[in-house]
Amino acid sequence: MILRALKVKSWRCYTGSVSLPNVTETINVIHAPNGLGKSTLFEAVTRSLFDSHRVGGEAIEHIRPWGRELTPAVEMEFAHDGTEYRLEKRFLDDKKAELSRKEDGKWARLAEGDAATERLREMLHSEAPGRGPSDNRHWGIGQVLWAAQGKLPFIEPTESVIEAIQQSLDVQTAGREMGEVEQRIEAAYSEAFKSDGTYRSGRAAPEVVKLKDNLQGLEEQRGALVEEVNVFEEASRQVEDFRSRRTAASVTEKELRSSLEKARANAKAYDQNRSRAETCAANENAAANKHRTLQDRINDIADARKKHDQTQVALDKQTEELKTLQANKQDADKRLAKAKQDLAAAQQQQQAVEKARQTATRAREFVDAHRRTEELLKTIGQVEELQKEHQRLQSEIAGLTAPEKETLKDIRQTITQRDKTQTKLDAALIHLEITPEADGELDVVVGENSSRVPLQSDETVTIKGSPEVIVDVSGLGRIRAFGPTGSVDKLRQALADSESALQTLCDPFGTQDVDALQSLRDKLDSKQGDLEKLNSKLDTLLDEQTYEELQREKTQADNTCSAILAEYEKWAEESPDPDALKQEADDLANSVQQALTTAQSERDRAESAVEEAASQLHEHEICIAESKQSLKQYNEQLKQLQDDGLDDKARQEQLNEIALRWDAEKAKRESAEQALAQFGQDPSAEVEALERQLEGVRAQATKAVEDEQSALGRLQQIADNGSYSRLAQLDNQIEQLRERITQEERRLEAIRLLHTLLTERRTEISSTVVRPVAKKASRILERIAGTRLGPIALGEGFTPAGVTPTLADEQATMDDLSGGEEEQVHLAVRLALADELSQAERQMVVLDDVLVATDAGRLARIHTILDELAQRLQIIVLTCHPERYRGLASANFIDLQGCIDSH
Amino acid sequence: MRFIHTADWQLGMKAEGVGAAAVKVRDQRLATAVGVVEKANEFNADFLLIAGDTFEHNAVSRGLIRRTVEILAEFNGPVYLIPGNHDPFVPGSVWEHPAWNEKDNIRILNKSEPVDVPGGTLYPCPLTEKHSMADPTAWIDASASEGIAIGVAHGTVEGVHQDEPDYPIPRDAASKCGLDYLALGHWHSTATYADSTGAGRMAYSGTHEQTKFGERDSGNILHITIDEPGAGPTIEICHVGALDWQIAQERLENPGDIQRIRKHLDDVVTPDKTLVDLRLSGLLYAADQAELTRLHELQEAEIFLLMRIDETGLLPAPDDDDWLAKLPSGVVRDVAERLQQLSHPDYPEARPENITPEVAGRAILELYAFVHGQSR
Repeated sequence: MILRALKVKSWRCYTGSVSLPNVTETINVIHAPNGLGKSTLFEAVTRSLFDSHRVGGEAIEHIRPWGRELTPAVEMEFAHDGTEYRLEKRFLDDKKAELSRKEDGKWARLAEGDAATERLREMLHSEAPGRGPSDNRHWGIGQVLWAAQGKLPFIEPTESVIEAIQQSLDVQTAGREMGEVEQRIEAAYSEAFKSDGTYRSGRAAPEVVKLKDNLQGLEEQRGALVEEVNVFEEASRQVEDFRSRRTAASVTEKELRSSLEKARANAKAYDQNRSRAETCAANENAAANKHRTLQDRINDIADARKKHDQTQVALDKQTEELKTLQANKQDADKRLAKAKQDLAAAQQQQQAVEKARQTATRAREFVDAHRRTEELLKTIGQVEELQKEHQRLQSEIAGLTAPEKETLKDIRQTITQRDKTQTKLDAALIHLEITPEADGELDVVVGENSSRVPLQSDETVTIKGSPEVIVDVSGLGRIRAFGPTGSVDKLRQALADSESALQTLCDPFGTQDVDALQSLRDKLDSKQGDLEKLNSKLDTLLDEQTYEELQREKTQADNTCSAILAEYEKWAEESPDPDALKQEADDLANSVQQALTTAQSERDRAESAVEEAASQLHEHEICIAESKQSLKQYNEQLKQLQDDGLDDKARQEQLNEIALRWDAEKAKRESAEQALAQFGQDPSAEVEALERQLEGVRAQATKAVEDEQSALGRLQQIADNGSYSRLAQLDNQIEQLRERITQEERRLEAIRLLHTLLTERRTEISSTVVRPVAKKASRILERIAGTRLGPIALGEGFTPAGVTPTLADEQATMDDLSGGEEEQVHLAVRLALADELSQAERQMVVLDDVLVATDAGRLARIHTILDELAQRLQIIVLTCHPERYRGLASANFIDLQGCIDSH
Repeated sequence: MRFIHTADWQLGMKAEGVGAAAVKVRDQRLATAVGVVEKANEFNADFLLIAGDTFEHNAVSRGLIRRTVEILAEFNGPVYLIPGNHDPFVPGSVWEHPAWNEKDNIRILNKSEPVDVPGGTLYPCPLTEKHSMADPTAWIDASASEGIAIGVAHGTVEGVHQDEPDYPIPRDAASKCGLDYLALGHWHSTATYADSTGAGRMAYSGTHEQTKFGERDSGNILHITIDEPGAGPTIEICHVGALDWQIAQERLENPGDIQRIRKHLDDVVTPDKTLVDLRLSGLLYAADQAELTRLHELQEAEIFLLMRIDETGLLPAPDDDDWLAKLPSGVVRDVAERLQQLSHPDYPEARPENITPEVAGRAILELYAFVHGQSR
């Protein structure tokens, strides 16, 4: 379509109206300063074309001039597909939509209300916006032809616009009828598949999914039925097993019973033989015992008789020997009496030995005590002498006063200090030496000693003082000597201190003479040395005893001597010889001891002889008694053994008879035992084992029967289910279902293939459409910006994706371009699309102040292109910079200000 | 002696591959069993001999057993049955059902021991397990039999291909065992085996009712007549099967070929007893699409006991551009042409993943339906 004339009333800033009565078919540059409603004009065009007159809402309310009760209205004349149309629309109040067509030079109403709006949408391939006002998505081909202010880049066009472009490019699509086919394919596909190509799920799932679910359910049922059939067969096998067990048990029982009968017969024969053998053995044992008893009796009688005779002989011999033993005893008693007498005599001599030893001991004690008394007497005298000397020395030391060595050392140091200080003082005093020529006297007015000093001729007098010395010399006058002051007082004080200290140290000794003091010290040291030596001697004499202890020891020794002398008076006259006395005592003791030992030995031997003789006698008497007792016992035994009333011959005959009977029984027993040996082991054990086995087998058979009955019952229950028949029916259902699934899957695969091919073909066609547009747009861009930017890459919806610069290997995105370049790429694409869309009829292109970042040079090239395109396009430029478009050769400049009627 | 030899009734079988018709197929097997008894009565047979596999499985419904007993009880003479490998004599087997004991004329031969029958002796070879490598007739020694000796066994005669020997029976088993006739079961097709003299002393009666598509020479029973011991048996094959299992493998090559199939189906006399496995291959022309639809309508009408149509081998005719030519240029037509390429079995290029000529062909048919506003 192209615009012929436009009148907008009561629209935003237009309280009155604005009219564009003569819009040319080529280029129209509508210019006005900012705020005069250029974009408002464009908005009025798009709303009137694409919005229903009944549209409401806040966005539409805003088109009414602010603060006024006016009705926005548009009157537009346009040409489309060779026909002239007029459109009148009013919004908000007194709403109206009327489309008229010029017929025979007059406007004839074509459609009103919604019909008018619908008719417009069909013309412009636009789509209804749904609820609310339209936006550029609803502009139909206007989406690519019309660029609103600041919206040069366009959104991906709708399908109808793309279709329009395709038609312009003469790309054959299916047309409406085939569009329906495509829709059916799409619908069939969407009915079964999701966008990712998988089956839809849930309630929207295709039948095949439900069939598969059913199949799964049936297969689960089938699994259970197959299991049931398996259980049936397993149960059958189990019954067979039990039957086999029962049969086997029955056979085993039969065999066992036969074996048991045989074993029992054997056991019976065995018992009989064993019983016979036992009877024979018992008889044999009885005969043997009887034989043994009688044989023993015969043997015992012979033995008793033999022992009796032997004992009698021995008794006779013992009686003879008894007499000898009794004589031996009497001899031994006599020897013992004599030995005892000899021993008593020897024991009496021991008393003399004791007495001699006592005398020798006392003699030793007397001699020792006497010698000690003398030694102690001497020592006590020496001690007493030394004690006297000791007292004397102590007295002398007590009378001496002498300084200690340390004190003496201090005195020496103090004197030295005092003398040094005195010397320094003397040096510090002012010396005034006067050597008078004549005698006289002088007064010391100021000096160390203020006094009158006589003067003698040629004798020098020295007056000292400090800090000055003043003397009055009679006849001469006063002489004053002075010098430096300061140290003399300190020296004087130090001297006084030294003197004081010396005084303190020496006062106890009455002199400050160091030599005297040293002499006193030496004398005292000498006395103390003597005293120490004396003490040493005294200690040696006392030998760690005290004088009193020595005195007590001496008294004890004296007492001892006195006591011994009282016992042995003659020793007062002559001191005894202890050693000799001891030798005498020892000799006597040896002699007595020898005699005693001999007597004791003799007595012991005699005692032993008596004991032995007594013992022999006693033992012999016992033997005789025992022999007598034995004889008695043998007699008694014989009496008992022979009390059977038989004599020896009869007894022997009886023994022979028993032996014959024994042999007979033994033969019988051996015969029975041989018969038993034929059986091997006792068959009764086998019988017991077989009976146990039989019992076990019977239990097994019973259990097998019970198990079989139980399994049979169970099997019967399972068999009653007729599971195979049910399985057969289920398998038929599953088979049917699988066939349906196969058919349905094949159908859906076919639908999927159809859809895939359809989509692929659409993509191919889209690519076919996009390619020439991209080529044309690239050519326009090259004319604007040169070859540097390279060809434009378009997406499927014609939206520019970027460019491929000639010097670059990779595509540059739109974001990589400068603002001006981006603007030029979008313009190139729009112009290319507009050029394609204008193949059938001239189309209106609107550029609302869009080239704001393009420099003058490129703008001039754009002007050239616009001039060329104006041969097929109506181009409406809305701008506040008309001077920028003065280069457009074919442009119709419209000053908007001149078109406004404020009333 | 005259008797009816039948076997392999397989009552209660699944009838795989026939879907919903399986119930009718199973019912028909019972109905045909009734026919067998009627035929036996008609022949005035001395006895009826069933050589195993009367039932498909030992776990068939107990009601089916009772129904079978009732059918057999209708025979005027004795009926002898041996358990086969499908219904071996095992605990819980169909043979333990009390119904068998309720009818005096029915005797289950579950022991390998001679049984006196009218006119001779029967040597039964019952099976007690599903598989065995033992010859079930090995025990038979009928050389001393005074009357006519008839054996009845279930197994595979040597020479018949099988993966593993399963109850093998020597080809000369009848002669070896001294039998006048050995009635066999196990294989569903009727077959006779002549002895060295040319007399047919051993035969499979085959199943009384065909069990599946492709099974040949079945649906028969054998009417055996033996005049005296040692005489060659007369074997009369009587067809008793009611079901007609037809495999129709039709290759369409020219427009209108599909009408031939339609005519063939129209000529079927007893469609309610007929199972059709229609396997279409070749080329489907646009003009035949309607006929194919009618076949499907016939299928859905369930006139036939079973009608199965496999059209996966059917491809749109490559030069059949009638309806394609009528499509306006554009995406749909492009897609149709592409599908036509992909549906060609000799398409020279690599096909998209999972796209077979069958899928592409089906897609064309779907597209055809979309274009014509149909939905399949």
